[in-house]
Amino acid sequence: MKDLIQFQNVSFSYNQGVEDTEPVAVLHNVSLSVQEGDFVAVLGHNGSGKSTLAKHINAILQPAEGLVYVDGIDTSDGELVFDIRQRVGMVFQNPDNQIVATVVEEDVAFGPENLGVEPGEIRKRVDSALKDVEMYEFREHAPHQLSGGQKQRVAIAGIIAMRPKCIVLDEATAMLDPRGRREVMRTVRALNREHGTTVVFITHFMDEAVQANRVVVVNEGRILLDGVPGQVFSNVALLKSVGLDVPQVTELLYSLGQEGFTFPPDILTVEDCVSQLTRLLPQP
Amino acid sequence: MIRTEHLTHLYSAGTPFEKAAIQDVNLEIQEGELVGVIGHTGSGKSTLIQHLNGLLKPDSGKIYVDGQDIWESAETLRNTRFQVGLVFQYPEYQLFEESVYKDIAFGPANLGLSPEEVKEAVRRAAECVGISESLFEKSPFELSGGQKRRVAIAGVIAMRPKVLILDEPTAGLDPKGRDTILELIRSYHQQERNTVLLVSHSMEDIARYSTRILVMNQSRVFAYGDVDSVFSKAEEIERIGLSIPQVTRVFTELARRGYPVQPNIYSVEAARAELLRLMRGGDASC
Repeated sequence: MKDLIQFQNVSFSYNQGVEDTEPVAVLHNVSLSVQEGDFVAVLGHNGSGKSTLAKHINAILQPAEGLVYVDGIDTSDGELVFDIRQRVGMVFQNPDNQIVATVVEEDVAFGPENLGVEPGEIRKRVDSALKDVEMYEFREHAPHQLSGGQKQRVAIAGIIAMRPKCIVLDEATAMLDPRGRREVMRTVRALNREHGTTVVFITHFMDEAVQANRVVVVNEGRILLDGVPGQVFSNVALLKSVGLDVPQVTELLYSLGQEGFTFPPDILTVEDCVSQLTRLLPQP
Repeated sequence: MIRTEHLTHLYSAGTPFEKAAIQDVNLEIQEGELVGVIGHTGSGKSTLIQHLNGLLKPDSGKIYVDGQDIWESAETLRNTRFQVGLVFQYPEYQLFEESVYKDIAFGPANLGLSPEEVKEAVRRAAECVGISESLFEKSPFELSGGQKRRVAIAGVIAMRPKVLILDEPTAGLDPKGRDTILELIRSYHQQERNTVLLVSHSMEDIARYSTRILVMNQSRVFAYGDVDSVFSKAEEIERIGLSIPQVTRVFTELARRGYPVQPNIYSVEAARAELLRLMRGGDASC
């Protein structure tokens, strides 16, 4: 599989070169690559630099030092910004801030219209994007009548209609209730599985992160951990020390491990936890 | 402290879109409880809490605060608004004053307290939420997101309400910010010994911090009682689509397979203690 996104020794500061202010360093020498078709969760507390990292992927920000390549394109080349944004779409946190039209299907058409797509083709793309996010039956509704999870799915449809290779979701589930969070997660997983869309999913919720193929933990502008979910979450003490959660069952077996019981470190689900415990508990 | 009788509220009453937001809600909340309120969006929990300080008027039914029917007169209604403090979702969007001090002081000043009393109320409230006096002269808009939220909560606490209601006070925060807010609510509750209602989508947080749990579903009370009694309905709660803490599910499954485990396990700490007891052969001292 080829790398779709490449960060090479990227550093970034806010207020760089602004008079009378101290620059605030956010990313320090970050190197990272994401393969085409991958599903990567990015975890980190507020201020860790994870959103700054995300904004480098579609050239909202350019690195102060180092290089970012998207599909082989250098993001610091101002001429090619639109080529990058066509490849990478972003979904943000607040569902109310990213809907522009008064009818759902018009909102989804906004992106492809701006790309100069033929009207007939727009119609096809809008319909198929709304079907992908299971919002087709709401196509003539007004967005303000939708729930938060539905609005985020419309925002995702607006991006799919531009046919990007990658979707970056920057805490897109933070303001949703558990049902809305599940809807968004299911939609994004299906896109990844069925269309091979690369997904970068930034979140505070570790129950979402465990569903990714790969988890990257960002702390103080550096990559702290990077691996498959089981591997990353086995670092219970480290994750807690940087203010992040681990699944309850992982933490439970870890704490029993400290009492001298031996468990595999990468247990994430209730089923696996139960079968580990029944191995050690006296038979009923 | 709070009692509701057959409380019903309809939206778009008298139109074809009429829909009951809450139906026949009968509740009794004792003084000093910390009640966790959980339910889907649309289950009626926000509508319910907005009735408790008279922001919404019921279509039928009664609300009593401290034995007083709150809709009896304009005066009882006004009193209720001072007695029952409501912190909305994303309360930081409601900050408006030019300094942190003035923002927190807005409520107590409107209570008609003397400047000295206002000062004391602001100082206490700020201390409660961990906002240092060095921030008092700053603009609230210069603060971090977590600080803003705590200032907004202080503004309600400063009115010394007998009942404090918080609607999803941890929404949008990271795990650390969430724990900070929940811990300060717990210490406030322990210090003031007043009544607190905490609305949350996280069953883990609710189980950890509440003395009683109220589960709302489809505009009705689905379950209300102490933590153990509500969690004894864990399977039914899962069936209405609310999630149960992972460790509770582990113990439900162990019990189903015949292991002699305590059913009331909601936290990692309790789970650990219970498992150690079993694995070490019933020695409860471990």
